[in-house]
Order: sequence, then structure tokens, then C-alpha cells
Amino acid sequence: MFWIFIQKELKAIIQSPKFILYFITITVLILLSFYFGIKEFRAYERDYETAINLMEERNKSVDSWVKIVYMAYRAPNPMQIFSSGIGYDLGRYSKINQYNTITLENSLFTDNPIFAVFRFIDFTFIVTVILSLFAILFTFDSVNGEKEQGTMKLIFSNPVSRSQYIRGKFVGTFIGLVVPILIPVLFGLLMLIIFNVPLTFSDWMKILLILSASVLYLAFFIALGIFISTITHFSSTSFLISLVFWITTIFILPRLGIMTAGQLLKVPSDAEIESQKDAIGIQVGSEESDSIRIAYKNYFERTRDLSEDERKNKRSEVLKEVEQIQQSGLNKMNVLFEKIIESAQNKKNQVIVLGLTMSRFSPASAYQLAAMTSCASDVYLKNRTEEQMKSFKQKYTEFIQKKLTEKGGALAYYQSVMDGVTRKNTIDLADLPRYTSVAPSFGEVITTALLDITILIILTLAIFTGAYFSFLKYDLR
Amino acid sequence: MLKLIIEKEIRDIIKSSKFVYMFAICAVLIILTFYVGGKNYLINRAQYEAAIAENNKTFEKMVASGQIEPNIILPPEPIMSLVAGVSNDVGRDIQITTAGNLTATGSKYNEDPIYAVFRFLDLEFLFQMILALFAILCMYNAINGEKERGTLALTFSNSIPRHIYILAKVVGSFISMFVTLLIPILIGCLLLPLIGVPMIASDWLKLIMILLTGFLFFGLFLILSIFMSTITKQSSASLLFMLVIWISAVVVFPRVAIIIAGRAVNVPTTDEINQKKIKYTNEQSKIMLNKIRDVQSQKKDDQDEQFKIIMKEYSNNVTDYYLKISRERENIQYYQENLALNISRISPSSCFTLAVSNIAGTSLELNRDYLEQAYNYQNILRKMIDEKIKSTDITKLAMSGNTSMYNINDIPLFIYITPSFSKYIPRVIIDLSILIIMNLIFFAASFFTFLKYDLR
Repeated sequence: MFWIFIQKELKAIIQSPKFILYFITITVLILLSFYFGIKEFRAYERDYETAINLMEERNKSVDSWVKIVYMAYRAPNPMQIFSSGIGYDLGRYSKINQYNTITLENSLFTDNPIFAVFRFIDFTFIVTVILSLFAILFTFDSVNGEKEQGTMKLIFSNPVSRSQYIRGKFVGTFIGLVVPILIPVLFGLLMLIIFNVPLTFSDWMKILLILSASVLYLAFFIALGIFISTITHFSSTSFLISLVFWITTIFILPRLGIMTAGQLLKVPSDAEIESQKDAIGIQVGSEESDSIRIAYKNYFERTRDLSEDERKNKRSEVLKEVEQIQQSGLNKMNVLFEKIIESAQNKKNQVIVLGLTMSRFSPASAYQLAAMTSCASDVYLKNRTEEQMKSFKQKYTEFIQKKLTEKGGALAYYQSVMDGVTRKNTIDLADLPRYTSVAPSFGEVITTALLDITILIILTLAIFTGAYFSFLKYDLR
Repeated sequence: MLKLIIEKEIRDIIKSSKFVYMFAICAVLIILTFYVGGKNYLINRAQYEAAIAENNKTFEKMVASGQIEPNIILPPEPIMSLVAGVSNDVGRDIQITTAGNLTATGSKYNEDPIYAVFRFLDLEFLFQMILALFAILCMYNAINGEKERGTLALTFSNSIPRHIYILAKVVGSFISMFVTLLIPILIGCLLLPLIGVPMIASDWLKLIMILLTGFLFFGLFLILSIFMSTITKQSSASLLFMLVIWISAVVVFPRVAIIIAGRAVNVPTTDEINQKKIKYTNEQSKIMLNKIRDVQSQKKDDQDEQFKIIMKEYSNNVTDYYLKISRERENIQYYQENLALNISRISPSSCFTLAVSNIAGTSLELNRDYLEQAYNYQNILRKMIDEKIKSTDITKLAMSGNTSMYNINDIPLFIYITPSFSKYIPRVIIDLSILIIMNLIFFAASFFTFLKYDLR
């Protein structure tokens, strides 16, 4: 009997005029999202390769390690085809040298604000907004609609179990709505292969995770539509209530959670932080200048009675002393900068944790967060990227310092330039450390996304249980 | 007769349960939007003032040590919190160097990516996503719903001209919707000064214009729903078609148009521009150093003067080159934006977004205006520095033990001037005209379709 109900539901869905419109709309939207996602990925990849090549070319032409300009770029992420998250809002590179703290600059939207006007349409957005709306449209009258049409009395004039009926309704609707989505999704995945989007095994596992979360999310809205139609007498009423719930869940709760967190916790702006850093920079710079002045004064006093050539020979000692003073000043500044940044970052993390926790009351929020985590475009992308760049910066600056020390130091180079010494290009960039961004592994992703997926499972089960028990007491007359 | 049918329409709409539900949620959302927008403005203002205070302290120390490189920040405005546009995507902080390129960094979403996860609730979002849906849900069965219920046949069993009926339906729906939505909107507007948001006359004018544009957009969906209900037999079909139109107009077309046109024009990235600048600067530095060495080797009396000329030449060459390639990129980007936006205007949602963001000053022009004012300020500072250098005896200054020739009180402050609304009127007029024309077209279409409608 259970299978009969499933077949009945499937037939009802497929034969309804709504279904053709549903199938055409989601097919077009999903394929468009894949197509434009691939195009954007390719454009980002092109820009990334051009930037890296230009930087390498420029660095090959310099004659000293002092003049190397290195920028660490975030590599293009093919998973953003599924969920762009904050990927396009975040800066794409940071300068790497011992003087600057890691600051991500120039996001795609800052560089090309035209794309910020309407933003991109991705798979996650289609599932969150469009597919959930269609799920509501197909299920708001699943029980009370049958009662209004009179078919429910007809069914229950036979010895039919209520439990089988409601379960069959849910499963039949689920199959009827989810299976058609798989067709454009499979075509979309084929497009990824045809267009040679570089995806590792771990990426494919993440894609599977996103698809599973999407299916769970749709199951929630199917169960919700059925539940609401079991607690209302008229389909027009259940339609309205479902729609109100849809608007609240998708548009209001997620935003409200984040905004409330932002209002409750005070966070210093980056401008304030930069200003504090500038003040420290001036303070330390001033102390450094005094020490350097004293060093040079002592040098001139020591070498007053020496000849020009003898004085030049003694110069390397004072240059070393000055470099040590500068290095010590730089270290002091970096320590103080790190304290300011860490304090601000801790406050920002508190806002993130509070905001995301409050927004997780909405299944739409849980789904989007799970999808973003799977695609490594979640809110922690900034922290992860900055941490990776920080550890690279340490390695890089140690390398540059070592190379400079071998050649006598930075000041020795500048002095030789002033003395008119012509240098041939002696820089061998082969050993220069290069930055590579590392995406989180599947294991890390699933650990982080587990909370959101669990929330989705619990909510779906709870709503379905509600629909189940509500229907057991439903007045069929 | 017209008045009677209008009254009937108003009563029918207001008494329906779907209207009550939808109105309740829209009212809550409208008031919430104003409240959250106002609060966001106050937070942004507090952050801005704290940053300015820090900047001023740091700038005093900078000036005392002989540097003139102030940081400027784009001030938040109340209307920007109500229609966000691209204001959270463009950089707000600029360090003013005395020569060379200026870059705005520190966009809100880059700084605090948590807000980029779900983005802000603003009037633009409200009208496009919620109120447009409200319009569809209230009017999708305006004609075919009455036919299904049998009331249409009943109405026309009296001698009622069709054109009066359809006109009354449109007018009745407009009046009932607009007047009821006005209540939460007025509450929202009153809320702003109550929570401490300082609104000046021009802000109120902009807000009124944004709301009028919003009503035009809302009206379009009202009339489109009525039109759809005259061309479909069943109300369920008209609802579905309207939802598909809503998805296409609001979600799909604007984005697709922007992406296609945006990528059709190849704009060099700022990385490419920066790399070119670094390369040119290095070449010019080498030339400058060679010239300095030549002058040094000649050991003439006017060496200092020669050094000044060489450095001035270097500075001018670098500045001119930076400006040249920056302007080239800006021109290509301007062309790209115009192409993308013109193509996207096929969608009323796009026209609405462009109109309200231009009125609020959060359109793509925001970044250009800010940079233009920053460059003007840079010129003022450079002139001041040049005059100071000419009029200061450096030797005397060094002998006196002062590290700086500048006095903080002589340095002009940067004051951001909100561009006047008249600058954007031409662009806003285009988008408003498109919305008005669309309203008229669909009204005419519903009118003429209903004249031939099968009432049985």
C-alpha cells in the first residue's frame, strides 16, 4: 500500500501543469549557475595567472633581494561555482614583506564594482530561494487540498493506514521534486568535466556533501508544506502560512541574527586599527631615528682622523649597526601590531560566533553555512587565508634576510648604488619560497559542517514528526 | 459606477485573509528595515568618529615628524544604510600620499565578512524580494479568480462597461495597497529621528524619492499580476507564471546581463596596473639616480637646485604615468559598466536598483566621486607642501632643531561633500521613465485584454 501511495503522489506531481514549469525553471537556472560559475572561475584563474606571471617577470629583472616585491595571491577556488559565499567580497592578495602586516586587498567586487550591483547567482542561492519556494508550492495543499477536492474521503473509505498515507505522501513528493533536480545537476557536473575545471577527489566528495545538504534542505520544506497543510483546514490558509514561514526563514532570521550580534558587540573598524598602527609606527620610527643618528655620530667621531678610504672601510660596521637598530625597531613594531590585530580579531570572532549561532535558528542559514563550509567560501575564509599567509611571511622574510645578510645587508646595497656601483643581475629566484593556498581537506570540512547538517536533519525530522502526528488526528470529513 | 467598483475592490482586498497575513509580515519587515538601517548608521557613525579621532591624533604626530600623509575615511550617511547599493563593497579608507595613485581600501564586506554572508536588509531588498511578492500574491487572481468563484458573471449580469470594471480594479488595487503600506512606511520614517538618526532636508527628499520609485516598482508588479490574470484561465496558472516572471526579472535577468556584458569587456585588473606602475617607477628611479650621480660628479655651485629639478621631474613623470594608466583603466571600466547596466535595464528590477542606488548615492558613482575628491585634496596638499618648501630655509630649520616645517593648524582638512542629487538626475530619469513606461504598457495590455475576456 505504501508503494501505491508513493506512485500516486509521483503521478499527481508529474501530471500537474506546475511540474513542467518547475522542471524548465530549475533546469535553466541550475545550468546557468554552472555555466556562469565556470566562466567566473576561468576569469579569476586568468587574472590570477597574469598577476603571478607579471610579478615573477618583474622580480627577475631586479638586481638585489632588497627590491623583490612579493604578493601572496589567493588561488582561484572551483568550489565557488556551488557557493560563492564571501569569496568575491574578500581581498585577493596581500603584500608580503617584513614591514607590512597581512592585509587582504582588492576583492573582485572592489576591483569591479559592476559585479557587486547584483552579485552572482550560484547553486546554493537557487536551492535556498527558488527550490524551497517550489517545494512550498507543491506541498501547501497536499493534505487539505485533497480534503477540499473530496479525494481524501474516497481514499479513506478503503482500509488504508493513515501512517502509510502520510509517509507515502512525503516520500512520493520527495522523489517527485528531488529526482528532476538531479538531471540538470548531472549535466552541470558534466560541464565541469567538459570545461576541465580542476577538481580533486576531495572536491568531488565536498560536492557530494553539498548535494546531500541540498536534498536535506528540500526535504525540510517538503515536510513543512505537508505539516502546515495538516494543521489548517483550507489550502488558501496553508499557502499563506507556508509563504510567511518561507519569507521569515530565508530572508529575515539569517539577517536578523547577524545584525543583532553586530549591534550587541562593539568592534573597532579597520580604519581605527590602521590609525593605531600608524601611531605606533611613528613612535617606534622616531626612537629608531634617534638611535641611528647616535650611531652615525659615533661613527663620524671614531673616524674623524682617518682618511677617506679608511673611513669607507669602516662604513660596513656602522651599516650593520644601523640594520640591527632597524631590525629591532621592526620587530618591536610587529609585536605591537600583532597585539592590536589580535585584540580586534578576537572581538570580530565573538561577533561571528554570536551572529552565526543566532542565525542558525533558520534552516536556510544552516544550509547556506554548510554549503559555504564545503566550498571553503565561509566567513572563516579570511582568518584561514591570513593565517596561511602569516606562516608563509615568516618563511619568506627569513629567506630574504638570509640572502641579504650574505650580500652584506640592505643598506650596503643602497650605499653601493649611491657610490655608482653597477650590478649585474645576480638574483636566482629558483629558491625563492612561493605562496600556495591550501584548501581545507574533506575531513576538516565535514567536521565543521557537521553542526549545520545535524541541525538540518533534526529540523526535518521534527517537522516530519509533527506532520505525522498531526495527520494521525486529522479530521478527514 | 467607477467609484462603486473601486470601493468594492478596496473592500475585497482589505477583507481577504491573504492580504491581512501578507500586510502583517510586510509591515513588520518595513519597520524592521528602517530600524535596522537606522541602527546600522549609528554604529557606522560611531566607528567613523572613533577612527577620525585616532586619525587626528596620529596625524598630529605625523606632522610633527615632517610627514604629510593623512588618512581619509568616507563618512557614513543615513540614506546609505537604507539603500546599501555598492557602498559596502567599495573601499572607505584612502591614505593621501603627496604624489601618485590613490586607492580606496577597507570595504565593509572585506573588513567584516560576517555581513557578506547574508548581507543587509534594506529598502531595495524589501521592495524587490518581499513587496513584489506581496503584489503578486494579492493580485494574481484578480480577474480569473473572480471568474472561478462566479462573481465575475454576477457582476456583469448588471450593465457594467468592461473598461470601467478593469479601470476600477486597477485603481482599487493601487489605492488599497499603497495606502495600507504607507502606514508602516510612515512609522518607519518616524522611527529614524526617534532612534537618533540625523536626517536633513535633502535626506528626507531622497527618501521620499526612493519610496516613490519603490511604489512605481511595486505598482508594476500589481499591474503585471492583473494582466496575467486576464490572459490565463486558472488562478493557479497565473500564480505560477507570475512567480516565474518574478524569479526571472528579479533574480535572473539582471545578473545574467551584468555577467555577460561585464566579461565581454576586458578591464585590466588593479594588479596589472600596479605591476606596470612598479616597473615604471623602478625605471624612472634608475634614471633619476644616474642624473643625481652626474650632477654630484660635476660638483657645481647650484647642485641643490639641480637636485630639486631632477626630483621634481621624477615626481612629475611618475605622477603623470600613474594618472595616465589609471585613467585608461577607468575609461575602459566606465564603458564596461555602461554596457552592462544598459543591457540589464531590460529587467524592471534592474531599473529600480539603479534608480534607488543613484538617488541614495550608493551607485557605482560613489567610488568615482570619493576618489575624485581625494585627488583634489591631494592637489591642495601638494600645493601647500610646495609653497612651504619654497618659503622655508631648510638650513635654519635644521639648526633650530625642529624636525618639521609644518604646523598642524595650516594643513587643510578633508571634508567629503556629498555630490548633489542634480548630478544623478539624468540617470535616475532614464530608469524612472522605463518603470513608468512599463507600468503604462502593462496597464494598456490588461485593459485591452480584458475588453476581449471571456466572462463565462
